[in-house]
Amino acid sequence: MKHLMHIACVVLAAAVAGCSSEGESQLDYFRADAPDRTGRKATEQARFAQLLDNNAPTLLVGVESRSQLAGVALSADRDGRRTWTTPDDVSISTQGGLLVATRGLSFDLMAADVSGVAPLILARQAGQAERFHRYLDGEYHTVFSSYVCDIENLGKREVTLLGDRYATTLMSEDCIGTTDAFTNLYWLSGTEVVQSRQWVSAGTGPLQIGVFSR
Amino acid sequence: MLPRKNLLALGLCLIPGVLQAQQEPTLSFYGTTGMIDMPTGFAQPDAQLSFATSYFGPTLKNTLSFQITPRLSGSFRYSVIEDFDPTQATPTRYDRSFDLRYLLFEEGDLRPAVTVGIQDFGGTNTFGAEYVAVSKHFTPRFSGTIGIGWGRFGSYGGFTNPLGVLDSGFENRPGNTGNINTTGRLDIDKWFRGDAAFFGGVQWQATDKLSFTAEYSSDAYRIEVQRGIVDHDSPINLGAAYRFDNGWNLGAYYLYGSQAGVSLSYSFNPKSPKYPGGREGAPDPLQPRYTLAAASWGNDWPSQPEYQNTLRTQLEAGLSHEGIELEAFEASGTRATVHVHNKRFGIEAQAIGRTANVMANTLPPSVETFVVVPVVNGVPQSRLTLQRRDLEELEGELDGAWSSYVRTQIEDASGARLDPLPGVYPRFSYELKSYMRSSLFDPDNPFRADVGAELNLGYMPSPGVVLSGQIRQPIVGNLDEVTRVSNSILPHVRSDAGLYDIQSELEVMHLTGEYFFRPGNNLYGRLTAGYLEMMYGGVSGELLWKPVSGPLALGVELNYVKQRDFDMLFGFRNYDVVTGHLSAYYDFGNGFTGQVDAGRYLAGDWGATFSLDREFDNGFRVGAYFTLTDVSFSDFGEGSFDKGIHLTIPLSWLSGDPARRDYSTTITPVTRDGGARLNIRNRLYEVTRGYHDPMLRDSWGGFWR
Repeated sequence: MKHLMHIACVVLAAAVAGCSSEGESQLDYFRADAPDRTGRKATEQARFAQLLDNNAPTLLVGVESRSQLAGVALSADRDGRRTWTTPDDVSISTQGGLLVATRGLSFDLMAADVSGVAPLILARQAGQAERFHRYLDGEYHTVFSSYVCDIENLGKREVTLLGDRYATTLMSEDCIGTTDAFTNLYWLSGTEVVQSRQWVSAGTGPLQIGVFSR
Repeated sequence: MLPRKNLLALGLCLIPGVLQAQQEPTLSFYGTTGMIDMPTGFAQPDAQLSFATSYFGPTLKNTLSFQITPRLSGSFRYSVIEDFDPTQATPTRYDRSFDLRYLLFEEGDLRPAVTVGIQDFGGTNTFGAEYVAVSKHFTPRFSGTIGIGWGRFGSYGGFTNPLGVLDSGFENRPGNTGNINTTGRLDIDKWFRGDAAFFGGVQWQATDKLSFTAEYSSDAYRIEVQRGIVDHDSPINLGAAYRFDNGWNLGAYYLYGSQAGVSLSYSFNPKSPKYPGGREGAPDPLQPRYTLAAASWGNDWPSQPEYQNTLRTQLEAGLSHEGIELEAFEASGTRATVHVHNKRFGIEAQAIGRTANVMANTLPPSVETFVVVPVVNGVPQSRLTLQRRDLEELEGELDGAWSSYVRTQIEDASGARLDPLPGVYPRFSYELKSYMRSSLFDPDNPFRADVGAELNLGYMPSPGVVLSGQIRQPIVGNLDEVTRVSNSILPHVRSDAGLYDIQSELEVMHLTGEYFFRPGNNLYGRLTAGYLEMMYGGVSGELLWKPVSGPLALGVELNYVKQRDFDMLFGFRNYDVVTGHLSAYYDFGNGFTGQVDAGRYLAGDWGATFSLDREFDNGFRVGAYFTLTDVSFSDFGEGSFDKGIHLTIPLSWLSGDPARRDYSTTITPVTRDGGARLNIRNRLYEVTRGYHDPMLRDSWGGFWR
């Protein structure tokens, strides 16, 4: 009888820990630190390392609301749209330095139309323009948001990023939509946005993005 | 690109999911929108789901409520009243019943919210009542309600039914005649009849979390007072409730001037998962075509076997990284076709998007057309044709989701025949996990459960052929403590469930060979043989007609089965039967799907089952069904006819990570032998619809995730 109970306990333990030919266990879905049974994470990290080896440009990205900071490397540059990826498979996409998409942050910005605000910001001109965002709701339905933005030139600023000094112009973009309002900040040096604070969504909040050369 | 003015005209939806906690209206002791014992005129937000339990005096009520549409709400309640029937063998009354509420008028600036409701039908009518409740917020934090009630809610301060002016028959309410065997019938002849009475109350939201209620109740608790189990000293009820951040609500009350009560509820909305849109890792960004490794191959590559092999290997690796298995592959100079098996994504459109992504980042620049054929159980489900140029153009487009959908051709794939790649078949899979099985509503013990280990084995020797088995070993539990014996006069096709629990140790849940095939255009077929489910073994065949787009599908199923031995091993009992159904499935749009199955059930009875489900595009489902057959209500016994509520919660809804697994449960108030259908796995409609419209279209937002 005791022998049977012993077997039963082992079986239960195995069942609770779980194992399968797919490499995933029942509990893995809920564990933040689930072991990488499918090898996906290892591949992502290897790809990131490869990008660094190839001297891909890098940025530092911080998620303000979660106090998270990560380095991203340029993983695609196509028609002016640049996508940057972290070792844990979070990505952001920028166009001319303006954020146009995120993936993997949760409450992601699926796409953004910044063709109204970008020319003013990059030309250091004050003015008013519209921007449009696309999100997904809880049922994978597309939700559009539009914002009216006031752009202002806040003057010259000197900025130090990880030891590098930049002479920049600070532009602010003050946007109001039906349910959200946010202010983006851009530090421009030449045509490059060397530092910025850009809003993703109500659920994630703003990102702080800065260039850094290694 | 969509013109700006059209975008603005689309309406600026709330960015959902997050943000301030919505203040849903409070729930009463009955688990429906109300104050303490009395209802209010408000309604819950559309699709809101709540579980509420309340206790005062001798009564414990457990209620599941669902806001089916913005106006219509339904509830299922399981109540336990101690010492309600002191003269019976079981003095405690166990009651299962249903409620419906309808919001006639939404609250406006001046207009109050008005709701009409019918409470507690289809059970023993212990709490039977009907009402019209009118509620208004006078300030954002202060609201008041008045109403008129019949039945139980017309018993204190009652007066002759005002509806008597329509017909004097309204003035009398038929009493509760009949015994336990007559429960389950709709007591339509009682509704809105008999004396009526006024009720009312006020509620004050003191802080964001704390609220206070005072109500005047029109329920005299006549029967309970008569039997000495409730003291009714005053019609005034008072209470306070605290709303936690995560959907939990706790309340404490003083009722009828004589006793304390407590209520606890959990409320959430399937439209708002914890991580709207998911939190899985990013798809690979599209690389410029001419920078791909394959660009260096020149134009001869289709005829060079080593390039074809390299392509295949790269596609396999890229897709496998996304959790998708490449089953077959063919490429010419301008067109490439892949057959894929999605192992990871619960949202099918996301699997298609990731597949197209990998193709765009692997195939030589000359390939312009991508053909993706999703495969389930070795059977092609549909054929999606996309242009590479569209992918490249729409990757960053604001309107990329809708545009990519309209530019994708979706067709039937019955003719899609490609030899599977070597190594794909035979496919062997196993899984060891834990399980819990529960059994509800036995008056001897309303909640019983077993917990144990489960082993799943699967073997696919070739496309369409599936050998599979599931074995369970209960380790701890009390399912085998059931003592109730079936008193059904029909063949015991389901009501001996207790004997299966008692006499089984190791349980062979199923052991089958299945064959899935495509007999023709828009047609899907299934043949199954073996131990089909817990209680039956035999053979089953099904044919489904389902076009890739369109709301309607039709099917026919025929089975010959024999009842299995109670020990759930390999023997059979003497009972055998031929069953079969004709089925019609209809997708109404807006998330509602209906189903009608007509035919012969396990006890040899003929009839039909009607189901209505509300599905959310994240996979969450709530539904209800009932079955009427030529078995009379009295022959059926307690409950009168078979009915149930069905709930499916996708794992990805809870965790935010993509998953193809979900938790499914069906709650049936009674398990008896009329209207019982074979519980066979992999009925074709559910297996097939994921890669068809409208399901693909409805969640196409996930394509670019």
